[in-house]
Amino acid sequence: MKRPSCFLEITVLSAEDLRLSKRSIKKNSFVTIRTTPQTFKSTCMDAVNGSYPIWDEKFELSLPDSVTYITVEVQCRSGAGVMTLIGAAKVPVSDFMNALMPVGYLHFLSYRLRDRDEERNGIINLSIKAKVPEGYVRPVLPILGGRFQAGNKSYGGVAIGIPVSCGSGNKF
Amino acid sequence: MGNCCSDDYGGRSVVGGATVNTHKNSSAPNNKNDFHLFPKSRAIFTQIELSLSASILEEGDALCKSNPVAVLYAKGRDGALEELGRTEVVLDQSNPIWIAKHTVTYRFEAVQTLVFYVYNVDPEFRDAPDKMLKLDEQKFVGEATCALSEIITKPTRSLTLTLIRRDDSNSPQHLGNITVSAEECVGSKCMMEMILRCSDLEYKDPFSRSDPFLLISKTTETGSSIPVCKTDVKKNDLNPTWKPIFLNIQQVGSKETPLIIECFNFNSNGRHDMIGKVQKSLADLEMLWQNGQGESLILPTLIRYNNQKKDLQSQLFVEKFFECEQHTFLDYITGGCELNFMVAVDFTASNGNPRLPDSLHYIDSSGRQNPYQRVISEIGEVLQFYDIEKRFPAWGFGARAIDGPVSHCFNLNGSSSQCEVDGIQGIMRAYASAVPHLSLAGPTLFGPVINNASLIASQSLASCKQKYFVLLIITDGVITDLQETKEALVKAADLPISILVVGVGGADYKEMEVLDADKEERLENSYGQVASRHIVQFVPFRDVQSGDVSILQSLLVELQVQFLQYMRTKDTYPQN
Repeated sequence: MKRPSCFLEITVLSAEDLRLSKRSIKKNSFVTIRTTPQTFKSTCMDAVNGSYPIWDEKFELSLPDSVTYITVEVQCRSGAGVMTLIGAAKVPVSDFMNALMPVGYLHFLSYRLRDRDEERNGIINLSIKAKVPEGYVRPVLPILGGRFQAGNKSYGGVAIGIPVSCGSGNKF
Repeated sequence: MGNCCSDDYGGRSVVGGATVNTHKNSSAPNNKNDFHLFPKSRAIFTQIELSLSASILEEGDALCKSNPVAVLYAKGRDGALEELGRTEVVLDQSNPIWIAKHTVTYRFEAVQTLVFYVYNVDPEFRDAPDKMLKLDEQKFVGEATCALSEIITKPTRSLTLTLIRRDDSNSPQHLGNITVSAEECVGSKCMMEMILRCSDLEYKDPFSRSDPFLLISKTTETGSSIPVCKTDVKKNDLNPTWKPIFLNIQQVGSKETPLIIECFNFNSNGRHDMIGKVQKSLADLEMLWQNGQGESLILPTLIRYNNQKKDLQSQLFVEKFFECEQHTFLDYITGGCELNFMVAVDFTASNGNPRLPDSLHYIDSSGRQNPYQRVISEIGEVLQFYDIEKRFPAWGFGARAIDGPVSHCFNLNGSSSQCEVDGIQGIMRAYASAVPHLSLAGPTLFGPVINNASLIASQSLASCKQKYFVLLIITDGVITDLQETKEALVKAADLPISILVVGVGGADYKEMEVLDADKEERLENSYGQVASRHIVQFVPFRDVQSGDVSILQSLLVELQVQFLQYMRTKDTYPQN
């Protein structure tokens, strides 16, 4: 069973401790989120919060069924208008769409950014919520036993769920 | 320690633009002072107003109506009663609704036992002032007792108890009912968010600019000051704008309470130099914000200058002043959100042979609790009230059943399918019966237990009921699966769960502090995902027999904060 194409509601919240050549950046950082090379959205530039920027911007992006991770890039514009990559992170789709959690759960996720040389650089904070087309049935989950039964309950009439096979497997 | 200003650069760990800044002093988690300092402390000062009513069964002479009065006591751990207050006397009424309200401070971390005595006042004293009444001269009607948490976990926030009289030789008589209703005081919901800024601070470091932070204290009636809140430290900055700070009205008293705002230069040795100070109430600060004006800092100079005050160039500005109402912990609890307790016990060989008295798992037939039993009952007795069904998952790890392989997560009750037991007593029974049947082994792995707990937490998300899980892991040694544990914790941070790790015995737990992200960097897994919030707290609990449980209670204080952080970042609102 394949994961269907769906929409993601992504909120780019903030980043922490962003540096360029080991020095804290002063301003003008922004974030680009890509689900495919052609499908992307960017935030405005943060002008006031320096190396701890806050964007708090919400986007909707489509997520084709074949995609296994989305990319997040943080860039910074210098005074001369040159864009420099501060760091990027790959977010596995399985982190916010897996068989354990209901679709529509608001995930609150943080990732380590790495620059072009794969050096650690700051942390990005996101929240992600997936929206799956109606009529999609959640697969049966492994049951641990006891009262904690896998939930086949529906939220407001919309059946929820994603196949176990999606992504690169969950980490639980 | 005890110097309340000696933590590292606060605010570094602000998560995701969320409004909760959790940070605590890097050592001495049992230092009560620490909890006053950070914005998170807003979660703990909840005042509750109790009102009482009763229906008293008439005894004997039907012509003689009751003149009832109720007295409210807090029962200490030692059983001693402390009077919190008493109601007025209601005349000729056997179904009194007392008007007098009693305010008690709700403390999530402790079981607060309340005892109510109802007396029938003799007509000859009926005009005496309530406070002057000698209770032993009045006719004792009956008593009732409950925990404060039992009242506030009821959807109606009210609880009806049966009045009994215990001194009767026969079985307790039913003498009527008393109903206790709890109301959260409005002040605990009203929140101030402020951004403060200073200009032209003076140099304090000889070789660099100052590293300033603000400490806000309230003055008490006796003139002493109590710190309530602190900003982050701005490095090398003489015109700092600090991260937002949060205060609730309850914490400071009222908007008119004078607050002392002191600006210090951070020193890693804990001796911070005063840069300047100013005294302002919240209302004053709001005025400053409205007018966009600054207020000059003053510096009290040394005594030999006759206690003069030096006016400084430096000024304090209020960049943002925002008043809002927030859902409190109790809003969620009364709305039906449950806290589900889970426990995992370390059965690795380092605990020592359970048959010998020096083992940490030695079960004393005299009833004296071993460290594991002690920790389970201390934490469990507080948390049990927040779970209606009281079915608690209980696991063990690091041991093998008689001839099985070593298991790193097995059901304590011996069942192969059912990990849950009934109540705290059920955990105790399962533990006591498991000990003789296990052969202790190793290594110490947390990963499997955390993953099992996370699975339960994630499965709860599909249910419409709000739940938050608390996993208590009690261990005697340092973990060997640090990386696997980190992986599990990073994933768990996205789930409604908090983990309390209590170290018993004499091991060196230095390495365990890594897990408590409050003290170290945020946890990161092997492919770069970072824990989006703090979910682990670790404390060593060596001195089990001394009776000092404040260390364990301090874990629970922060639990409330982690709970609220989860609910708020997930846009989850109280049900009902």
